[in-house]
Amino acid sequence: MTKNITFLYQYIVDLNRVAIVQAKRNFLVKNEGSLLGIFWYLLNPLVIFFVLLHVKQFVIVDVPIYPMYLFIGLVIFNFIKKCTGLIANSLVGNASFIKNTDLNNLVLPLSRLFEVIFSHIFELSIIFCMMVYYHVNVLNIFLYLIFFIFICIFAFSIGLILAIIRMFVVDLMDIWGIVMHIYWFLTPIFYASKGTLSNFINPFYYFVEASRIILFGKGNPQIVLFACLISLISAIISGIIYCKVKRYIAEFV
Amino acid sequence: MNAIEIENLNKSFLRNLPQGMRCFNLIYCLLRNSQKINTSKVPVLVDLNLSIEAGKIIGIKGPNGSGKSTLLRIISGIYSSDSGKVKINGTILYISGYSILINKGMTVLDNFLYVPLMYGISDRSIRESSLPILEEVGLSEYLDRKTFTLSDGQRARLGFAISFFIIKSKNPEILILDEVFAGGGDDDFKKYSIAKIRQIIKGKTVLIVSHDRNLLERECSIFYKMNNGTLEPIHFSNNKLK
Repeated sequence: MTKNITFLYQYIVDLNRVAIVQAKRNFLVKNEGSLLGIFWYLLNPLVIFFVLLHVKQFVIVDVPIYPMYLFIGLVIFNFIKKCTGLIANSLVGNASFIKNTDLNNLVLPLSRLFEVIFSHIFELSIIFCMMVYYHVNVLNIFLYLIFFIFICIFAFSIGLILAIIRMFVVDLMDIWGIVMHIYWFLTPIFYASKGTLSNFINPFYYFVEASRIILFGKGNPQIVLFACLISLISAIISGIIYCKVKRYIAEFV
Repeated sequence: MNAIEIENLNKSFLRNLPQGMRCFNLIYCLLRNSQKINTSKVPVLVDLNLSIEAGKIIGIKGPNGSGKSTLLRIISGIYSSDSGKVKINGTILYISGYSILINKGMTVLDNFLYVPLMYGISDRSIRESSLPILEEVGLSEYLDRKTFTLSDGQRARLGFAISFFIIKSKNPEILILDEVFAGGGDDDFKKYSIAKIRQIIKGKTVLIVSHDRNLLERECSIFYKMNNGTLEPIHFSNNKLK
């Protein structure tokens, strides 16, 4: 038993070490020589944020501290969207790496996740500034960091399932793009959530809403529990699928 | 003692890999139970047997698509076999081409600093060795140059420097070299890289796949030809490097 736990611990440590190196490599290549540098990561959410803030005057949204509500929604949805998109291409896009090295191929999707976590840190700093500005308890951010692990598990699991399907279906990402576009409107990002059926059958709703509940420090904690549950279920499903196909990945990419 | 033992190894691949399917075509084919999804297989390795004594250097030659790389990937654990036994006694390192892990968007030095890290080699050891090795392969003037600006030959030199350092640091008992001596690089560099590799493989079990018959004859103690999914011993020599 102890031997198994030590083996599992060593496996996770090794996997993370290689994935972090790979993520750092990607990060370096992406940002070196870029005039905006790390601020590039903030440009997209900030531009959308200001556009939606401007649009707000045309729709009635009854939400206290709307800018923070909006920014959290944007950032969480974008995090999941970016993660799933990058992870989905991580196996097929690195066929040469998978076929020609004996390194664990789980490193590739994991490194993509770390890459998006790096950029999320900058977005989180803006949320922190907003919390200070609007006198929201800043200690909530520590609770959020715990919940963020579940968001990562969910995004990684969905991305991994997509990456495996992507090995067989060449146009999967086009379809996923449409699905994400639909969810962008179905998820209460820039409008108030009313707890409708379309919300309850939408997994993104739970993660966006639970993040707001934690960061604002008020709301229905059941939603947070549901989000954690969805995250664990998705991890189990993706784990089963990955274990079934992992020995064929090098052949099919 | 044998370092590698393979018994009745079989491996086949799908005739048409299904990656090309588009989502709605796939759903349509599945619903119609269509014959468009071709699941027939092509045998690549057929009842292959091989025993490699520890410390020997084995060469494998064969035409493209004959299954050489498939065999090496099965030995390394990258591919799985359909049936048969593969027993490995010792630590194994698979190197395929020198330039696989090079990121063309990174500088020469960054590539050298990052790739070995992925193999679990300590940061300190990499930093200490980076400059002398890069100087030895003639890349000391290009440390800050992005790798995509280098010529094929220079990239081959960088790839060699990284691979050489990884092999030296990991010190595996079994080393698998898949077409590593092909690619860019002039004759002098080829000679230099073979001489350097010869230094560090002493006492190791080495499996080399190459199209270069002269190289295999010169360096290997046993020499096989891959033909129709099986290995045929071609040439034995007693006076080879060990």
